[in-house]
Amino acid sequence: MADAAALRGPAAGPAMHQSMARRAGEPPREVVLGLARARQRISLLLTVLVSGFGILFALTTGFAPAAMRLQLVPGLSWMMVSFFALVAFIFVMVCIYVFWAARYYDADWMLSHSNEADSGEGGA
Amino acid sequence: MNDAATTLGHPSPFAMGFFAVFVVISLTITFVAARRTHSTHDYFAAGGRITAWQNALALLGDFVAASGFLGGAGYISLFGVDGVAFSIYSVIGFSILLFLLAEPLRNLGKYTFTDVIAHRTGSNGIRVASAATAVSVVLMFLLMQMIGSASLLHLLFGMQYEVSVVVIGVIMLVYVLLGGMIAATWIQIVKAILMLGTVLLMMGLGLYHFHGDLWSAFRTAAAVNGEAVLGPRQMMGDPVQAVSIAFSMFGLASLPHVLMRFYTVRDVRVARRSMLITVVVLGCFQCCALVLGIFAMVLVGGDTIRAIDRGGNMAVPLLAERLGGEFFLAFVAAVAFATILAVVSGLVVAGSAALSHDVWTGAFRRGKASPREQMIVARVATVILCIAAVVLGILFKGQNIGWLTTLGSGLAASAIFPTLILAIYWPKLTTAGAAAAMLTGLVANIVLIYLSPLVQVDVLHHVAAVINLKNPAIICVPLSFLVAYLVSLATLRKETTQWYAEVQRQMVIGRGQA
Repeated sequence: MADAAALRGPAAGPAMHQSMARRAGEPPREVVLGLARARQRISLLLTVLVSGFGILFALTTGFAPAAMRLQLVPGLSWMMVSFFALVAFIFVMVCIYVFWAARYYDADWMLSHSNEADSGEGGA
Repeated sequence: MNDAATTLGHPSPFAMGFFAVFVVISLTITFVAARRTHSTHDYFAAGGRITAWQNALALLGDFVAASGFLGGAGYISLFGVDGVAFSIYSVIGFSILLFLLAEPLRNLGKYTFTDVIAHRTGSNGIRVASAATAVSVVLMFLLMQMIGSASLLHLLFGMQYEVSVVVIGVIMLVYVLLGGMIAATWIQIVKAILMLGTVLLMMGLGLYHFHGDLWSAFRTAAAVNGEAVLGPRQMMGDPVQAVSIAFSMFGLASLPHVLMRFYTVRDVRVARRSMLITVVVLGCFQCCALVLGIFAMVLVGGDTIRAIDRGGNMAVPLLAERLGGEFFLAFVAAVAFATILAVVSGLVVAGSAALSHDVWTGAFRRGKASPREQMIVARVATVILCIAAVVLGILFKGQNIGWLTTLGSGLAASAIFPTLILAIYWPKLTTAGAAAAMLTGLVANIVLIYLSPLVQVDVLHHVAAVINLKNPAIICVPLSFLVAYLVSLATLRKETTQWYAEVQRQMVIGRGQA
């Protein structure tokens, strides 16, 4: 079955596990888990947005092919405009993730922003 | 404008020369890499020394195989903008990979995605099922590349198909046996640079031909071939087909040889940066592929393209010949061949990692194999995979390989993606649920593709198919999620969710593995 030592951690209680984490120089467990959940929400939101617009693109081309063939300017159809717009949208989402959201996932950022609540525990 | 005369199909001394230069360069890389490959960490993960830009180029190289470089633009050259279905979902797939999988994978695994699933479920037995899925995907893609490259060699050099398959098999064996992931990575980097440079050069030459007016090419294409070439047709013109193709983005986010790349960098920050670079460059590349396809449609013509290859895969080399003569054609053809060789080396590394690290070391030896034993098994697995690829490549001679692409990416989408996502984000996934999802994805894909027009009509030459759906991902992906959900709930134990809390923590700060 799973790693027995790690299982003992949660079963023994948060304080013991937090102590174990501190000795290893890691951020406090509550900080890590809280930010992990925040990261998950951001990642899922961005995924839903990007894949959602991708599926919307598919539905639009599938249900309205004639409209997508119409040309905004000669040589540039709405399907092409949608394609380029979707690529640009993906670029923006990826940049948002990497340059803004992802700082929550770096251990040293967490460590520098964590609340040192237990001053009696062994340091790293 | 559409002159049917072409030197493609006749042995070219220029092509042979470029081909020989590339093989010499890649073998040099291989021998240098061999001197730096001392451990399984070097063999499978390039020692973790790959930088963000290097990894980005290698990812791009791994992903943009012949199907992207030749097939995507080739389809567009025959059918028009409808072919962006190939392009857009690859960019979306990579962004999903960045958002959802890259960092957890890097923090939870060692060499393969199977590490993540096994760690999450706490079961070594699941490694066998997961590795079997990975090897299946790898073999399908390998077979596709072998058939495509052998056909290309036959076209360029007049080499007999079977001899071509063996030559490619020997070259990829040397790459991987000696140099492992270091060689595979650097060969991908060189190939990616060549490919991007070639695309940019062709774009420049094409634009020069149209006096800098890009839309003039599209207007001409519409005037000559009808306005339908600027909109949806058979791929994107049917809503069910279009959405099913969209679901393939999940498969593109789960390819074993792509996922392995996250273990070749130092940490998650480097992995994240490399993915950013990859998504941006891939997006630009796909836009260029659209333009090149239209250039080929106008400057070469559909009839000429079909006369050489019915699927349009020679459109880009033919366009190169129009723009730069026989010399440029030979260069582009050699780059296309280099593309294939580089991809097969990455595939073989991924396959050998699944067999040696996951099955032998993880499942059978329960992590107790010595480093020397692991290296021996890795190399034996490499030989086995290369022999299998050569034998299958010869057996499948002349077969329509379109269904293989769909089967491989569909398998990744419905067997690997749901299991990975649930393993990382759902506290209640059990070992039984993970195994059931992978088995469901495997069986459903094989059955539905067998019943689809890809096999029933194109291969077996029946009048109609049982199921009129060329890409069954729209059925298989949700089905795998559903099966994983139901089986996990039926086999749930308290320890599963307790352990998930620890996994969630490790997902962020790592397991502390070198």
